[in-house]
Amino acid sequence: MFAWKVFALISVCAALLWQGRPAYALAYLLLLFFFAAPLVLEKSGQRLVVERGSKERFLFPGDEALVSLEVRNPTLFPFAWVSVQDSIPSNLVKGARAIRPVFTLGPRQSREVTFPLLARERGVYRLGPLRLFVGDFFGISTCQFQPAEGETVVVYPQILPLPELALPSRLPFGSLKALERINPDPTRLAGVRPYQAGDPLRTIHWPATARTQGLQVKQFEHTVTVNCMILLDLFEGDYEVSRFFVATERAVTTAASLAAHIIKQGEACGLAANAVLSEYWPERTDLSHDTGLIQMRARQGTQQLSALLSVLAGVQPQGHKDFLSLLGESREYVDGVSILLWVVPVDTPELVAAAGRFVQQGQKVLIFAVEKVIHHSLVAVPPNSSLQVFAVSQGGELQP
Amino acid sequence: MTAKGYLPALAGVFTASALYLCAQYLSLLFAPLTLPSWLWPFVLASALESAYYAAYFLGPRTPFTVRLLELALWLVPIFLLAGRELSVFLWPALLTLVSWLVARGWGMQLVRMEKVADVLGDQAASTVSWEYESLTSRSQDDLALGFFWRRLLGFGAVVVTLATLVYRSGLVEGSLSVLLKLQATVAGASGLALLGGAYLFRLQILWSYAKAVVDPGLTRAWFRNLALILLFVVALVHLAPVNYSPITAETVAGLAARLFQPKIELPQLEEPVPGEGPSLSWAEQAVPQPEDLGIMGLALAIAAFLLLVLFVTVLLAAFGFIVIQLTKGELERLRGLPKLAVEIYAALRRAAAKVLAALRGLKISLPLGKRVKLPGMRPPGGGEQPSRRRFPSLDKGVRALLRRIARQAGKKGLRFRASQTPREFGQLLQGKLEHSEELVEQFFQGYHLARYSGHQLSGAQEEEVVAAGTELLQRIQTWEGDSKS
Amino acid sequence: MTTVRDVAEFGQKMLDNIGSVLVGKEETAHLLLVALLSGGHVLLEDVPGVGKTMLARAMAASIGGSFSRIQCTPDLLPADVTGLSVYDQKAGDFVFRPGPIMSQIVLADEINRATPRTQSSLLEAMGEGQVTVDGRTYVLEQPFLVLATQNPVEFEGTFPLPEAQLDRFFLCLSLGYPTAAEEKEILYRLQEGHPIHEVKAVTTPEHVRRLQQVVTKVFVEDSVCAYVVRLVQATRQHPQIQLGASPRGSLALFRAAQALAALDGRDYVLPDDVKQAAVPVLAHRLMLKADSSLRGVKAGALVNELMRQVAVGAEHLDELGENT
Repeated sequence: MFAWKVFALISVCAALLWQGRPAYALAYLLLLFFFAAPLVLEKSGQRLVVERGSKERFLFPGDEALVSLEVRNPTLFPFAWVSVQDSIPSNLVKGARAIRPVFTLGPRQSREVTFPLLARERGVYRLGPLRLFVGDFFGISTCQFQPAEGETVVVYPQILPLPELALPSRLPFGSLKALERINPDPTRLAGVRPYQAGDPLRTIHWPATARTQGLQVKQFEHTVTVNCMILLDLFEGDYEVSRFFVATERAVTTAASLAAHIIKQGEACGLAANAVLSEYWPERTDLSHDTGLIQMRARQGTQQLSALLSVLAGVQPQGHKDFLSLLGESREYVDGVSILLWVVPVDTPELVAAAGRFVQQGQKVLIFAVEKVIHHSLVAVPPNSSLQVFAVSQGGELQP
Repeated sequence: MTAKGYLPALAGVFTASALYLCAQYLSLLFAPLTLPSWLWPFVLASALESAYYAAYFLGPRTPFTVRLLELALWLVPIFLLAGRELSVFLWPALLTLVSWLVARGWGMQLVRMEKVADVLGDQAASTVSWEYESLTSRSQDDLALGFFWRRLLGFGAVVVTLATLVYRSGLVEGSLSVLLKLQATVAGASGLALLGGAYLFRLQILWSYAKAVVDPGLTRAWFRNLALILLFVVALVHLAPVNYSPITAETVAGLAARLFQPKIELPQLEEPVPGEGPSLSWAEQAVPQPEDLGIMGLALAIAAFLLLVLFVTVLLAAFGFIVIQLTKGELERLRGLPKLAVEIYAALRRAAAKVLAALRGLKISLPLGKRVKLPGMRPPGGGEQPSRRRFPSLDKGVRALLRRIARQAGKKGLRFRASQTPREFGQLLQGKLEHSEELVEQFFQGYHLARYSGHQLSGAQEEEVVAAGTELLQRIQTWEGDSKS
Repeated sequence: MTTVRDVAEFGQKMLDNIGSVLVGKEETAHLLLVALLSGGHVLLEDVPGVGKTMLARAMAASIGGSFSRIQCTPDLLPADVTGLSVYDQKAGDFVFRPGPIMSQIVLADEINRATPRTQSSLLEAMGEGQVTVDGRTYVLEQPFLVLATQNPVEFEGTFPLPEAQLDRFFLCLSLGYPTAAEEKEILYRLQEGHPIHEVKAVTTPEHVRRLQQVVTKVFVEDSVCAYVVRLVQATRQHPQIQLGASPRGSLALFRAAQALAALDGRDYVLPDDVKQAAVPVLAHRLMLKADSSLRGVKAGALVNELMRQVAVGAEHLDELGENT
């Protein structure tokens, strides 16, 4: 390009010296093509606007989606060709390779381009950076730009019906709802009802009584509820190397399936995991991803399920916090929860001993072993037992 | 047809016009080099033939005798037309040969561009993309179309040099000057068009290797925008100010003369002998004043250019007609120039058919109010209470008009989808048709009243609405369409 | 005689009046008028502090009607809503003390904090237009509009309205946060006092009742009626929707389209009116499948998708020469 620019300057000098329209014409042409046009192309290209259809997207494995982008030219400069390359992680690419659209963009024109996605594996992925290539009509210059817009794609873990994990579908409650309520919590008012013989006088709701002219007593929520807490072990040292990926994925799938099952039953569910989060995290969450600890309080509802699944989509194993540390550091979240669901590779004696301590406090502990079961006696206990072990199997046999 | 189909034609036109222009300047400077008037078609035809042959048929195994025969095809008639006089034959033959050879180079370059895999290696070619394009553009080595630029600017430099010499000699004036400018415009425009087309061709090859998804409308838009750029360039070179430099060759020469005069004796320049031909003594001859082409001249140049294009198109269409008659349906075997001619003929036929259909449609869509009364269009009789109907079958003129408008717009790429309301379709039309907002509003308001209000339109109302709809239909018919849809 | 022109004038005056209190919410106010003219009730799903109370008060003041506010809490009783009979010792008889439901414009704030029993009493009053207390029936004065609010983010201690109850609301709207320019305007307007105190009535409840009658007479051509039905039926067949809109939804859409046409000064409905009303009328009536919710699919987006798919009119298709 340098040589051509020198030639252009020489022609300008020649035109100035020689005079005459032919010489000036050549000089103007060369100035236009080798100086003005590349500059205008670059300046106009910097003003191209790229807008994504959405900033976040949620998919299940196997889902297909279309990522749409709008490329807008707010200038009067016509772009001979524009090419868009969106960096799509290989786990999301549909087909052999990511498509790369090419189109022309006239003055003040906009064009929508779409990229197909196929969610193959769970994870939190980041689409981008986006690269825009633009060029002129004569092959003199091309420019590349990188608009800052990105998009997060969250592929939830697979949710399977419990029987597909070789788990009983009555989990985790069994007949828990029929249990007697133990201790009403005086700080959690659930409503009022008419007085019945035997109600303590201190529970009378006097303002309601005055309004209704009939004795009304307060109703409270009870300390023992059916709140559940899933504790997921993703400590690398606890898993066998040979089956590491399969076992950890099974653990995440088990946790996700349990959470979905519990919340669909209308109960509250929380999550604690000794894991780290994927680096590409949706901005709306404030979970830390560098302490090796993830904790979410038990809550009800579809939004809670969505939040749990989003976290489970992004969890990755880590190597410095084991499961017992997780138990120790999650007391605040675990206390007050009636059912603990531990998703671990193996039901080791230490874990069973720790579970026994929780059982003594009145909580129910269900251990889901995704690799191997040691305490077969705990597998065969009656369904209402406070401590049970389940062997999780997903289309294959567990190690004996 | 890919870009390659048009490029040899552009190459041929550029080569012929640039060479002929140079030859004309030379003939003005040197009398023995005058050109016979019948030479131009030979130069053009030989360039076209050579370019197409090289692009589609020539190969390393083409026998040398075939190439000699090809050349003889052009030189022998020239020899005969030159009256078999060698002295008369040599200059035209040389020009034709040069044109033929240069055009051959263009054709062979196109073939080389297609074989990018050979250049890059198969593996590299399968992953090549426009990053490659960027890299080559930013490299110090060459432009992506260095071959084309070198030739183009090479010709440009030669033409400019010769033209400057000629104009400074004062040898050109009047109609000759206009003709030369026109030729220069044709040469320049065809050269730039060739460059633009070649770049598109190159990109198409790279994109096919990179498996890019190319917008189908890109080629059409490319050439449309290229035409606009060429128009801009033509206007620029003809209208831009010139000769404003305070430092010219004369002033530099004068300065040098003053500086070195005591030391160097300048040779005495001989006075030009009348009748000996043009003198190149710049110091003595008055510098010709720069002339402005003016708007008329520019218009004339553009008109002449368009006439030339029209002439070539008609010629090719006629050739295409003959080819079709001769080949009788085996058109898929055609290549190169015959295929181009057939395609031009077919395109002209389609265009003519569309024009006829449009004229027929215009005739049918004239207001019906005065001619035919459709059933159900009776106005409410005396004493009858105007009742609202839930199943209106009236005002078919308005509804029929919407059907026609929808069909016509659909042909132009603006589909009226089943899930769109008439108002949404109207808004779409307002966005696409320029200066038609009020017309669209008037028609669709009337349509709404006719269709959804349960009342019948009065005669005057219906006439107004139908008139608005008819005009809208005409505007859609003359609209060039929406290539995006 | 009251005509659609009066409806359009009424609409403009009301919007101007409400606009003097609430900045930049013309579209929401417009839809609120649609609900008022259609005799329906509105659910406002929004975060606190965006102007829901002001909107209700401005509307009440503009029509010259009574206004009351119910702050729903878990200990709110049905009698707190409907009213109750209290024994008056002096009179020697029970005296009925009407509850806040007896006003013409009622704002039920955070309805999802009331217990299901209390919610039912409110919803019954909305549905029947009357309340029964101690065996006596009290007819609620028309026009009667309930604006219930619900926080879109679920917190502990709430009783979210079940989907079946949501169907009873004519429209579901959201005010949303104001833009930066609007918020700036709000600060200037409220600098020296609240403009709600200066809002004057532009009409009377009697006039609003007559306008409601006019709206019911707006002409709906057969293909538009069929379009309403097709759209609602499509919500029952969409693969991502577990439970589509009920016939109550069809009726609400029909009525809303009439009201929109009347507010536009037309005595006939266009398919565009149906489209304009579709999302606010239908979105909250749809129960999405769990998977769809988890994928971030919104009911409003599904309604928009259906509008892009469902044909506007069978006769229309014949005109286009297309088939479904």
